[in-house]
Amino acid sequence: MASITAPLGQAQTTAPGLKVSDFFRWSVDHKIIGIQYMATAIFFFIVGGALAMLIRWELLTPTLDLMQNGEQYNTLFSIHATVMIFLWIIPMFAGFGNYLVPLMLGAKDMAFPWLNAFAFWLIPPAGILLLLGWFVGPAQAGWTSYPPLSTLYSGDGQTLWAMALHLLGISSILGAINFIVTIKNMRPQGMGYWQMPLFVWAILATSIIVVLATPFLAGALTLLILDRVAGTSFFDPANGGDALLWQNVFWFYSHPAVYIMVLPGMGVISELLSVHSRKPIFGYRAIALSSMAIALVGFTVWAHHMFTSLTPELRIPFMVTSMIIAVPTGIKIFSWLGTLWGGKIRFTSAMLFALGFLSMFVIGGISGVMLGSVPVDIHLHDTYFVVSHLHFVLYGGSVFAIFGGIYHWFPKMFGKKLDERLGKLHFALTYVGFFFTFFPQHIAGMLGMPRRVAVYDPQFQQINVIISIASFVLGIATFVLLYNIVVTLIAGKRVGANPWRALTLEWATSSPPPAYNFIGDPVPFEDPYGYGTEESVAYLDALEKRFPPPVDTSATLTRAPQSGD
Amino acid sequence: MADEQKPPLTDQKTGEKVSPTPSYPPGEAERMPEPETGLEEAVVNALDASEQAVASPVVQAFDSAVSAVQEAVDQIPGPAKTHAEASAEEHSDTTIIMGRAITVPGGIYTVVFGVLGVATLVEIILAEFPRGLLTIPLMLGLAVVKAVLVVMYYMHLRSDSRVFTVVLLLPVAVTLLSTLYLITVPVTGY
Amino acid sequence: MSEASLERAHHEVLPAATPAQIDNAKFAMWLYLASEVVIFAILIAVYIVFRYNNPDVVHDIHEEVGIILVSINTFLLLASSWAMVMGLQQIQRGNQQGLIQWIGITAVLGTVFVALQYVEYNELGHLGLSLSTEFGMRFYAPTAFHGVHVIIGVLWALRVILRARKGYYTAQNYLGVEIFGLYWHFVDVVWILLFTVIYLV
Ligand SMILES: [Cu+2]
Repeated sequence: MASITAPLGQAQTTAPGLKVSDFFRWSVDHKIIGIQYMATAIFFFIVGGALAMLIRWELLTPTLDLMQNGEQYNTLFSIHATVMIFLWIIPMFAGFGNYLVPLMLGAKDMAFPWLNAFAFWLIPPAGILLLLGWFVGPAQAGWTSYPPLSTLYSGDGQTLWAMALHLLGISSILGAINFIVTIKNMRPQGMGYWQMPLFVWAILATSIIVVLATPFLAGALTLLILDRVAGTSFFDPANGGDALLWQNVFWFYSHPAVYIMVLPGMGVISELLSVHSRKPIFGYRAIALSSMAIALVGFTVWAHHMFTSLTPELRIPFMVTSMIIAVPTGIKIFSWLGTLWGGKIRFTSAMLFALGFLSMFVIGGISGVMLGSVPVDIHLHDTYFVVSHLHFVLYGGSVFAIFGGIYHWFPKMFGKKLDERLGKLHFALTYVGFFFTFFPQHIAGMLGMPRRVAVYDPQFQQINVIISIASFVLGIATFVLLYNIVVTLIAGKRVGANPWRALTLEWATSSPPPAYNFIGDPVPFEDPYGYGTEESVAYLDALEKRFPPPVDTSATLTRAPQSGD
Repeated sequence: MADEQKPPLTDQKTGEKVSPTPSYPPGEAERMPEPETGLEEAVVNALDASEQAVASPVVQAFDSAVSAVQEAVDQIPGPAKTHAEASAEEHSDTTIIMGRAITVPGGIYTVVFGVLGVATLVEIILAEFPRGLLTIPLMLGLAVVKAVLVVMYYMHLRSDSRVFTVVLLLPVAVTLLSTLYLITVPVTGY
Repeated sequence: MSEASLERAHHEVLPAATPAQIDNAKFAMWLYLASEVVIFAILIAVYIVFRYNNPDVVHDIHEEVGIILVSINTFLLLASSWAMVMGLQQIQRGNQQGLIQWIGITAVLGTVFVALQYVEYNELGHLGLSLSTEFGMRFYAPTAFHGVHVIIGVLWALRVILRARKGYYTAQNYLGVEIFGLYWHFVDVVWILLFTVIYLV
């Protein structure tokens, strides 16, 4: 049987002696790679966020002010969307997966450590390539890059855009292959598929989608690059091509990609809700299986993005499949509510973000069902309603989950807990800023304000001013998190190995874990969510004895005497 | 409360029953507080109902179907030959086809190569002679047969883990769906 | 709960983690091939759609080009696949020399295939089938993409030969050869389908 192929000679330590420079080097340790992913993603989050701020600044007035012309504005939102999707959310979850999956499985590393590092190091060049586009006539066709916008009207930056996405696609395919092999082959004794933490289930479902869907993007991008540089005209009807081909193939990928971006978030939420309400997850199998159902049904709905360019008879079938997707999603939502019901909820920052996810994602889901129904979509497509919907799903969903995950697993990664007061401030600003940024966009959309324009009808100015001001609050909120991270890293107090008293295996070692994660082979607790039983309390107490919290008693974050755990 | 109604957890590998998590001892989180208001009662009823729905035939069928797939994926060896039989065959120069032992250098591999060559010749002949109604389906069928032969024998899919079969069939299914769509749906909407 | 149950003691015998343990690298190769299936399928689908809607154009081009060269190429690639499995069989029997010879044949056949494809492209170029024609772009994209895979395969074969000369593979350790085989046969399968769909139908 093959297992880890990491050369034992270059043992890595994530132990306290780790230097900052270690994170800028080639390393095959999944923990370092995970943090490299996350740090890179956060960097691009700031870049994408800055672009968003420029967009909102421009939209304060109905005329051009910050931008000289519409093309500059096109570039802004194109790069904003691409960066946020491909360089922030997807790599960020890849980072969580890299860090947590081997730990949750009690493994020493991923199945292919070298491949893991290689997949990561494709990302920075891709990011640079994308941003370099600015100097050669940037991409202007939006993140969907429909031809002919992306073939006949954009500058060479569009070619760089396509190449960057190609690299990112390869990176995520390699990462996904690694995850699938790791999850299939490296589970510890006593952990069948039905004893895996739900985050691992989510990563498994996500990885299956990546392997099956991302090549569609690769194929479409290959044809796009050929159209741009080799004189072909796959997408140019004037020369025998077909403009709809791009739309179809792109959405073969990009609808499943929505689940690539949100399923890991759902996995994170499943962990957080159970741990912080001290209750077994409700409907474990239902949550796990609904991930798989979403993954498969997700391949049959793509044309709901093309209702206006689709043959009319096909609208209804795609509307139906789109509605069906709401069923497994609803199962998850109700399972989470069932988990919360009667639990001893602790309002930690992580939990607050998990609850924020629940509320915002439901709104995003409902507006998704609205957009999925043909008559509504014909009216609302290409308006701010769509912008609002996708931000509720991707920000209110994925990004809230990411924030919650950061607060939850930061003690795992660095042995220090993020400041809870700052965390709550971060949550409050984010929640309020987010809501008032994106909720009014529903209204603007229904009133008919089109998306992707810098110059709009003056009647929408009032609502846009509200949106812009709220978005600046949202922008500032992010700096609270960054400040919190920096301050905690420098001056935070060390906490015990398992400050949340969680049962999943990643906490059954010291925090941060040593090189190769575990001393000996860890034995998973029989039920990863079996909170509230005498056995679980005994197990957690034994863990605490094995990995004692720091002696400094002023560190308040050791086991607080609560009746709930 | 509903713990007893849950199907017993079994360890996927050993098949042993895993004891379900016992209910909460006092002082821990109450799983379900006694409902006081109408709303609370409705929620508790809904949660109860959904836990009981696990026992409904539909859910059970889905569940056992998934388990069956998992078991098939994990445990059943190749259908045609066991791994040992297949690799014995692949190691020897003798292979048995339709009851007759054939000995050529390379054994089964060479036989398959011969079939591939003949099938290709037939295809070329079909293509060069005047075409009938069946020509194109025949050619495509032959191509698929050849591809399947290579996959089964040269890539050892007939005797290797079933997981690989699933890994191959999933993208084939997804691409067939999307390719058929591209072919059958008119190029332009409106 | 005692401390001992947190970790398994070293002297305990570990059963395999999963019942039917499959090899990591082989599994990963299959997953990679799964994603390749999708990319090739798109390129082929683009061609099929054109063929479906313009049967006469394709028929005329087929008449003009002929299939002698490409038929030879098809047999070469089939033979290279056969040579590949023969090499695998040799190393499974412990014959390193046999492995080197057969994989060598595979590499040579692959190289000739690419060379002939180059000749073919030249001829087509003279016939005016460029990348910017309706048929040309849909023809060159999948076949050239396949050709690139053959080139990569030939390089990989050379690496296998180099390693075999150093005695890297044995009758027990032939996984590297097998995984290269998976790739090479996959490329062969793609060609089997391309040949029929693009050149014959
Ligand atoms: Cu969609």
